[in-house]
Amino acid sequence: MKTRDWVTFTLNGVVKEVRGEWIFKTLSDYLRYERRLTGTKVVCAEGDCGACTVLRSPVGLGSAKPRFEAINSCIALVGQMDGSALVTIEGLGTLDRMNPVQESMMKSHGSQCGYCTPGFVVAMTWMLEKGKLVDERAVKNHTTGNLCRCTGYQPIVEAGLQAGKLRDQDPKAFESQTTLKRYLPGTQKKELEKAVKKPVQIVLKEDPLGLGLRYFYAPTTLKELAWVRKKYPNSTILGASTDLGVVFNKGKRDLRHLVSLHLIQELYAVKKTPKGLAVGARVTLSDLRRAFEKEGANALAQSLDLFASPQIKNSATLSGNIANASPIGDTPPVLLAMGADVLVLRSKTGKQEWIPLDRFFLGYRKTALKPGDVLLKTRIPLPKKGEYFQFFKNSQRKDLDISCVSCAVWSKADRSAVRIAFGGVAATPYRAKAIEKELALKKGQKTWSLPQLQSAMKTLQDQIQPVTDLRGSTAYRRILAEGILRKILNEIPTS
Amino acid sequence: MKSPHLDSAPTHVTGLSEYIDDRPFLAGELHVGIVFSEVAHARLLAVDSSEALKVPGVVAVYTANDFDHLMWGTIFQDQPLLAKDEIQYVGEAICLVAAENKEALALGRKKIRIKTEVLPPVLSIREARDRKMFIGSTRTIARGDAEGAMKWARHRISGTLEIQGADHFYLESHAAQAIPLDNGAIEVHSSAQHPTEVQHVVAHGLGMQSKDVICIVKRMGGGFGGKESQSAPIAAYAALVARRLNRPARVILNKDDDMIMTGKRNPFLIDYEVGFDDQGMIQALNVQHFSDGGAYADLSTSIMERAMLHSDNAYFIPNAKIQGTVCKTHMHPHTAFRGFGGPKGVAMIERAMEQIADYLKIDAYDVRRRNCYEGDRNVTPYGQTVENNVLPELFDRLEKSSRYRERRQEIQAHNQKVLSGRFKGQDSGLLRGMSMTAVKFGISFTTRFLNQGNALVIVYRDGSCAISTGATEMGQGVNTRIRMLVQEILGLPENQVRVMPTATDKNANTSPTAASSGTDLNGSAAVIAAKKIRERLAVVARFCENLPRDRWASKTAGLGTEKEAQIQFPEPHSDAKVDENRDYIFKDGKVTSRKNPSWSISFSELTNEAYLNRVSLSDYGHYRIEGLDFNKLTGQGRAFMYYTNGTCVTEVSVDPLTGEVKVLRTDLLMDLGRPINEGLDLGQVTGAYIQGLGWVTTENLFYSKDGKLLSHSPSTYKIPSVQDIPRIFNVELLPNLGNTTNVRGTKAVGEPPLLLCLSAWTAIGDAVRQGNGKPYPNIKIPATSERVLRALKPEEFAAWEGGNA
Repeated sequence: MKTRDWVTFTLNGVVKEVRGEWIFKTLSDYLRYERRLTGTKVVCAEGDCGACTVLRSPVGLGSAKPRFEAINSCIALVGQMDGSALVTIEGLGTLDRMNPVQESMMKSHGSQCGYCTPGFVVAMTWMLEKGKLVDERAVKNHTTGNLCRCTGYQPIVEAGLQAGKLRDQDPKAFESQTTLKRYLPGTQKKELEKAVKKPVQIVLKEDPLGLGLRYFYAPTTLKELAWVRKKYPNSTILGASTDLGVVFNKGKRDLRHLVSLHLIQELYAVKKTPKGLAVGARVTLSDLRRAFEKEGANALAQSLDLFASPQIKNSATLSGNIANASPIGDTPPVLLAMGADVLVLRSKTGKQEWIPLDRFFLGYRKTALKPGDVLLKTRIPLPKKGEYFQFFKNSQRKDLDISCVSCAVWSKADRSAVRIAFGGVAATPYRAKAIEKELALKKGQKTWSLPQLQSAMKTLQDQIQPVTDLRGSTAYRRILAEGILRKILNEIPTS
Repeated sequence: MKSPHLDSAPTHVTGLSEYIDDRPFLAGELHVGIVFSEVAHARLLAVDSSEALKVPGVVAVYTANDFDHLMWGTIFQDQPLLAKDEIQYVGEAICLVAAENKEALALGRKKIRIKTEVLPPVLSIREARDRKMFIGSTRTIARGDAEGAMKWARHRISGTLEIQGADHFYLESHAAQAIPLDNGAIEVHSSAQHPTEVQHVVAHGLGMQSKDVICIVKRMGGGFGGKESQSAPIAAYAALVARRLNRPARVILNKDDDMIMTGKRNPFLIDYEVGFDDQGMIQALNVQHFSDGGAYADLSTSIMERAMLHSDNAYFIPNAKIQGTVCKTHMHPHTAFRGFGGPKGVAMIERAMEQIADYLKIDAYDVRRRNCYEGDRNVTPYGQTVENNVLPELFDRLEKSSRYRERRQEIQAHNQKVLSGRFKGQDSGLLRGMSMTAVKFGISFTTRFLNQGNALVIVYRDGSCAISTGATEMGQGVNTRIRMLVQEILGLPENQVRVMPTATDKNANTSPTAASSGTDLNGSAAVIAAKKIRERLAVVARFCENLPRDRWASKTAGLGTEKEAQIQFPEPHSDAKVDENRDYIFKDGKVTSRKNPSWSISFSELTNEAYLNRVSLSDYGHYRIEGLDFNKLTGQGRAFMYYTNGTCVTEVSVDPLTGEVKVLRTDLLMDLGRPINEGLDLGQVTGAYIQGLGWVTTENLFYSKDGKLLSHSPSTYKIPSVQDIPRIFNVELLPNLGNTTNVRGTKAVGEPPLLLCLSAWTAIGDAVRQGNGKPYPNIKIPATSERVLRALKPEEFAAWEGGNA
C-alpha cells in the first residue's frame, strides 16, 4: 500500500502540504507562528473560550457535502486537518472589504479589547452561511462557545442581528461570497479528495529534545487499522482530540504516538439498523444531532444541546465521549438509559465485538477497551412511539459547563420498564439498575405509590457515592440526584 | 448622538490588531517561562537547574540573585520579584527559564527542582485575623456617635457577610516582550495598565535609570485592574533575560498559570450592625471590614479604603463607624479589580437594606428610597457633601420605568402559586425574586498624587494630528474618547487625528489607567494641550486674514523675494489677544472668521502657514484635579471630584430543585453626564454589569485545603456566557446636559455600573426569602447554585452533613 508522509489541507484557499514536526503541534500554533495568521487567538487552550475559532470543512471525508463549520483550533493537531479546507479570520474579509459580520461588529460596538473578536466573527459567519433565520436565539446558540469579558454580550448579539439583516438585504451577493464559494473551488477539492485516499504514515525518528520516536498513522481501512494497532497497542487513538488536545496543551500528556481514524470512510456513517442507530466513530456530535432530528428522536437531539460548545460539537465524536469514560461525560447517561451498545475492534485478533454499554465502564476512567482496541461504532436504540425519554443536567453555568449531576430516564409508555442513568454520582457513568426494578410498574398499577418512591430513593442513596469537588459537595450531589430523578419521574405523562 | 466606533475596531474585526504575542519574533528572540511554587508557605532551600540546563535549547535559568534590586510594590515595596528564602503563596515565581523554543522551555521548566521546607500556611481571613497577621493598620471613618445611636435605635439587624474574590479573566493573559537597544537601554512591550510602574520596576530591578527603560503599551486584551500593578514583574522577567543575554525575550503566560500566579479581587469578611427606626430610617451603622490581602500588600490598603468610602453607598447615615483591616495570608497577592473595594462596601449596605425591609415587612425599595441622600441629608460619613445629587431622581424614574410596584405584585402572586404547588409534593416551578440597588461611585484616586495626567499633542504641517497620553487602551475606548475631545477642539475630521501607543519616552510619570479616570485625566490634559495649539493657530489665522493671499508664507517662503522679506509675523505668545473661541471657528477641518464668515482657511493650509512662520504646532498639557483634601488618617475630607450614579432593578428566577439562577430582566439607569461617545459608554455599562453578575453568581474560585487554586481555567471557572445575559436588558442614561464638573460635562463610566450587579445578588436573596419564609438569607458571594439551594433547604443539607440546619 502506498502511503504518504504528509498531510494536506487548504488554508484560506491555498493548498498546503505539511510534513515533520508541525504534524504534532496544534493548529492554532501552526496558524500563528508558522503562517503568521495571528488573528486566531489562544486564550484558554482548552476549547472553552472560542478565541481560536476557525472554519473547517471536510473534503472527501465521509459522504457529506463540504460544509464549513466552526471549530476550536487550539485543541486540534495539525495532523488531524488532513483532508480539510480551513478558513481563518484573515480569510473572511479585509479592511476595505469586510464581511457583514465584521461590518456590524464594528458598527454595533461588538468589539472592545478585541481579543475575543476574531472568534466571534468566525462563529457568526458560520451562522450566517448556514442560510437560516438569524434571530436572537440563533445568535446566542452560535456564540455559546465564545467568551467575551468586555461587552456583556449585548452589543455582540446586536451585531449578529444586524449581520443577519445585511445578509438578507442582498442574499445573492452574500451567497456569491460565502467561504464555500471563495475557498473551495473544484481543483483544490479534487486535489484533497485524491490525497485522502492514501493512508498517512509519518514517522519521525529524530527529536530535537531527544525524546525518541514519534509517529502519526492514518489508515484508510479497518484492516490497516487493526495492523497498526496491533503493532503499536499503546498508540493513542486520535478522534477530534477535543479532550486529548486539552491535556496535551496543559503538559499532562504527550501526543507522540498517534493513530487517526479520519481516513476510514465507513466510520463517518450513521445507519438505521433494527437494533438502533449505528453511529460510526468519526461521527461528530453535530452530525449525530442532525441524525436524531431526522429520525424524529427529538428528546435525544435536545439532550445534546447542553453538551459543550458548538465548536466542540462540530468536531468531537460520540465515540470519543464514550471512550474517554469520564464519570461526568454528558452522553454516557443518555446512552445507558437508552440501552446502547458499542462495537469494539479487538486488534489482537482482528475481530469485532458488540459490548453493552452498561458493561463497558469498569472503573474511574477504565473501560472494557484493552490496549490496541478501537471503539468503532455505537448503536443507540431510538425511543419508540409512546416511550418516554428525558435528560437533565445540572451545572454551575447552564451552557458550556461540565455537569455536577446529570440524569437520563427512559421509560415504556405504561412504565412497566424504566432505565435510569446518572453522571456525577459515582466513579463511572452510573446505571441505576437497582431502582429500575423497584420503579417498574406492576400490571394494573397506574403510577408510583409514595412508599415505592421513598424506597427507591433510599436504595438510590445507598448505591451512589458522589464526591465533593469544585463542582459540588457530596450532599449537594445527593440532593440533586434525588431531586432531578423525582422531577423527571413526575413529568412522565401518564398513559 | 453620534457614536463612532472604536479606533481599533476595523483591525479588531479583521484579526489584524496586534497584541504582545502577535508581534513577529525577532532574530534570536528567547521564550521565557516562570517556574512557580506549588506550596503556599515554605522555606526555599535550593533551586536546582542542572537538569533543566541539559535540555537542548534551554539557554539560561535565573533566580532572585540575578536581580540588582529584588523588592517591588506599588504602595509598600514588600514583594520580591522572585522568591528568595521564603515562599509565600502557591504560584509565587521562583525562577525563570529562557529557551530557544516553546518545546525546550516546557521541558526545561519541568526539570527544575525546587527544594523547600514546607511551613504551615494561613489561608483564610478568619485565621489571619485571629493571629493578627495584618498589612498596614486598621483605618476608621467615623461620624456622630455610632455606638450610642445603635444602643438607642428602635430596631437592629446585624450580619456577617463573606465575599469571595474573582478572577479578572482578561482574555489576553499577562505578556511582555523586552528588546535590548544598542545604547544600553531596553524597550519593553507590555500588556499593562500602568506603563510608568512597569518602567520603574524594570529599571529598579535591573539597576537602571528610568531614561534607560522605555515601556510601550499599544493595547491590552482586557485589563479590569488585573494589569494595574501585576504586569510589572512579568515585564521585569522578560527584561532581565534580555539584558543578561543581550537578546530579545518574551514572556507569555497561559491562562492556567496566569490564574494561579496573579492576585484576584480581594475576598472580604464584613461584620456589621445597623440600627433603624420603624420607618426603616438608618440611625447607626457599625462595620468592620476585613479583607484578604494575600501574601503581599500590592494595592490592598487602597482597595480597603475605597470599600470603607463606599459603605454608605447611596444612603445617608447619621451615625457611622466604619473600620477596615487588611489581613495577610498565604494566597496570591490580591489586587485591583474594577470597582476596587467599592463593591464590597456596597454589598454590605445593600444587603442590610433587604434585611431591614424583611424585618419591618415593608418593600426594600421604600427602605432605600427613604434613606437615599436627599436635600440636606447630603453629607457622607467622611464629610464630603454629595453635590449635584441625582440619586432620588434615579430611584424615582427607574421605579416607574421598570414597573417595579406592579411587578412586585406579579412576582408575589407567582411565588404563591409555586409554593402552593410544592405542598402537593410537586417540586417544580421556579421561584422569582426582584431587587433594586443603587450606586454612588466616587471618581478620583483616593491617593491624591495620582490625580494628574499629561498629554502630548502634535500637529503636523499637513494638518494631521497625533496624540500621546499616559492612558492605556484596553478596549474601554479611552483613545477614541481622547481623539474625539481633541477633534472637537481643533475641529478636525476623524481621519485626521490619531492616538498613538502609550510610551514612557513620550509621557512620563503617568498614573495607571484605573479608577475609571483614564479619559478624565488624560483627556483633560490633551484638551489643555490642544487648546494651546488652537490659540496659536488663531493668531496665525488672524495674520493670514489680514494679509493678501499672495503674501502668505506658503506663496513666498524660501523664494528670497521681496515679498518674503516684508513678512513680519507677530510673536504668538506676546500677542495672545486673539480669542480663538470668539474670533475663529475651528470646525470640519476649516477655520472660519467669526467676524467675516466668508473668510476661511482649511486647517491644513493654516498649519502649513504656521510652520512656515515658525509657530510651534505641538504642545504638552498637564492636568490635575483641584480641591481634593481627604485625610487618610482622620478619614475625613473631600475624597472625590464627583460621583457617578445609577440604579438598577434585576429580576431573577431560582430553581428550588437545583438552586440554579437565571436573570430574567434587568432595568438599568445611569447618569453619565454628557457622554463623549454614548455607544462606547453603553458598552461599558453592559460589560461591567455582566462582569459583576459573574462575580455574584457563577464565578467560584475553588482552592484546595493547601491553598492551591483548582478552578484555574474556563472549564472550571465560569464567567458569564452569552446565554447568561438577562433575557430582557434595558439600559438607559439619564439626560444630563448640564453637568459641568468634568471635562466636557462627561462622567467616568468604567467601574460604577459593575456595582449594580449587586441587585442580582439581592434579588436571589429575595427569591429565597419568599421561597422558604425564613428571614432574609445570608448567601455568600458568589451565590452559586449549591449555596442558593443550601439557603433554600438548609434542613436537607443538614440531613446529609450532620450538624444543625
